[in-house]
Amino acid sequence: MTDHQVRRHEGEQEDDAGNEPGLELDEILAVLSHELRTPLSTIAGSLEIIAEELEGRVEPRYQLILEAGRRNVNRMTRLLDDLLTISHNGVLVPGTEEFDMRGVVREVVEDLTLPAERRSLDVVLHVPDEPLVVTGDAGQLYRACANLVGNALKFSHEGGRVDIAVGSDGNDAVIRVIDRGIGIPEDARAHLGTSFFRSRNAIERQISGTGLGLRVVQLVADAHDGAFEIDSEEGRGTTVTLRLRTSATGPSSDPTSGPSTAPGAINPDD
Amino acid sequence: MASILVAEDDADLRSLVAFKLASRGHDVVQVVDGAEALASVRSHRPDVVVLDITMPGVSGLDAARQIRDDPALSDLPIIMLTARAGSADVEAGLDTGADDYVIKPFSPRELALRVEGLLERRR
Repeated sequence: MTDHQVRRHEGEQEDDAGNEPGLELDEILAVLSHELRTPLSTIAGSLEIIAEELEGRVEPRYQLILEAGRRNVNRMTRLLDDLLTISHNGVLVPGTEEFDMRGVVREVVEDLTLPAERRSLDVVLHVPDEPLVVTGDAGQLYRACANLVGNALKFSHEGGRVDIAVGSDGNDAVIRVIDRGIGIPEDARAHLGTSFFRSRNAIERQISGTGLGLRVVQLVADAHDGAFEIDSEEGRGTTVTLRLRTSATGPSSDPTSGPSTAPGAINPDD
Repeated sequence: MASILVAEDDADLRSLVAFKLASRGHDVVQVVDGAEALASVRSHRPDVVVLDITMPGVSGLDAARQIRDDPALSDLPIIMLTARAGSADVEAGLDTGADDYVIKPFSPRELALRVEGLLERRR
């Protein structure tokens, strides 16, 4: 299967121990992500077919067990998506399509409705009335936003509120995710964005996670000529701001001041 | 009710897809690689082909290209199964002439609806 043959670096030989040089972790991650999708597809499909067949005909507790199975298949899928994203040797291929960032964020919020409801979280989305056109890779940005919103949901206290604001600031598209949850300890700040890092308080509270989410956000921000900032206090909550270059200049609108009232439409370069 | 060819090298996934499509009343033929897929569509043209991208020997992409290059088969509806979530790879699949694609892991119900959507559009 040529699509995922491991590439050897030219001129390199196996060392005395028989270890293959050039078999970078990134290549392993890409291959893993690819190879695991087929069996995962079978598991997801099997559960779906059984759930459909048994709907209404089985006790609720079995329905819950099936749902747990399907939910965790989704979780594994998201992990594979993250692994694929970070497997590109630290550099993502920049995308060239133009799309409206509002749609990407709306999709993220919609896809995370169930996890939010399960913890009675109030998720409030603020989007401007005009399109917010970005040039890049919508899939990568979906992953980055999904990780940020997912984190906000995970680290919030039950019954809490998460605000997601989308707006523009000069040449930048700005996506801000605000939670009032457990926050990030001071000593963890320097390690954020390194692969597989998990902060002490996340581990102590046994909040699930791979430690890859922010690394993905970093790579995606870099690939879009952007940046992300984290403002957090342990016990008070976290605000993450993701900035991306838009393909147009336009009036500023503060993304946290509610629906935008900025006049005029953004003219994307045609 | 249509005749559908399913080409997928993984036995479990292939059976699952075949089961789902058959449960909706379609006639399903299963093959394990691109070479068998080409032989099958040439001898018994189906109404739609479900093609996995990565298969040993003749890949799904190769098979799709050959189907499109064959004047007798070039308008055959093709839907591809891909493990690749990167947009460049999806574009590659569509470039070879697939009409639609689903990304693994996919919902069998979603696949069935897309297959039936393709059939509907060709009617």
